[in-house]
Amino acid sequence: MSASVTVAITLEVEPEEAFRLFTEEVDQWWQRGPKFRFRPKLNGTMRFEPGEGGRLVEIYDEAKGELYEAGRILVWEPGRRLVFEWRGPNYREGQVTEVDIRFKANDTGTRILLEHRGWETLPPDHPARHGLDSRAFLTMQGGWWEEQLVALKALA
Amino acid sequence: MSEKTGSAAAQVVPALFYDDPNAALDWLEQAFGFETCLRVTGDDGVIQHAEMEYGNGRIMLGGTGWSDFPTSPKSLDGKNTQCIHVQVKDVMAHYERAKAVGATIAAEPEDQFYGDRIYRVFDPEGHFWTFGQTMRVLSNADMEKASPGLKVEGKG
Repeated sequence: MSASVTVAITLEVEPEEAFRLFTEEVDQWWQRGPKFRFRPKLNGTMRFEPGEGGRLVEIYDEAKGELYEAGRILVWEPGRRLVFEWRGPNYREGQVTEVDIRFKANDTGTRILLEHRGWETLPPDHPARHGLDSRAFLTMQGGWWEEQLVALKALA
Repeated sequence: MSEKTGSAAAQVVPALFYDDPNAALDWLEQAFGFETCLRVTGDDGVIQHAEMEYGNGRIMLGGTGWSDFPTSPKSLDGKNTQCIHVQVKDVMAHYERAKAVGATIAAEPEDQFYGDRIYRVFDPEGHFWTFGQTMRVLSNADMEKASPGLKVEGKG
């Protein structure tokens, strides 16, 4: 079993378009500043490298290859599902979480169900937890994604 | 979610206690058509907190036993101290859906003197729900006529 948090939002577009916005337009909706960016001072650009085996990266200088790699893309099914690994800058070996996003057509557009799991790989005193207990930490993490998804919805 | 803090957000949000919140969440999706918008799951795989939406309404659900007062109707011989009522677009379709998933129907859909068609139902842990649809818009005078002895005041 795995500690996880799930949040959801409905976008008034088709699933293919919701998937495209989520991936291609990631730098547009991924909020800026220290709360959201991996190395906020470097003013990087977020990008999903398309396809399984691609990466989620924050690019600082493309020519010099300067970037932060959050993780590999594990599932890339446009219009249906996206799964990628997620490591924060302060994660150690073996500490890895996973983000699993499902895109599902509904009456008004596309329901995006985002699950962020694998938090049990971070020990209770890990700095990413900000000293919070499991429930408070996961709820905070859910709120973090909610803010992101609201920004994504604004693009649709 | 966006709807959580926006002006259209539900301001009254009932919270329900379940011995098995994981099963309850799945069941409320399948039988009643609620959509999960937040799910917080602990290391043991048990849901600690979840929120679900129906139209512009929202409920929360969680476990029992985390303090003296939260308990399931299952542990109270099925007694309830309150009931959640949901207004739906097509009450007959809702009734058929709930019944098909095995919901315990407490009262078949029936037209009420105030113009709504209502059915009553228990979920698997014995929480009492009612679902209704307005079939006829009646004046207070019409309602009083339909149910002698009652005085109807205010705007329903």
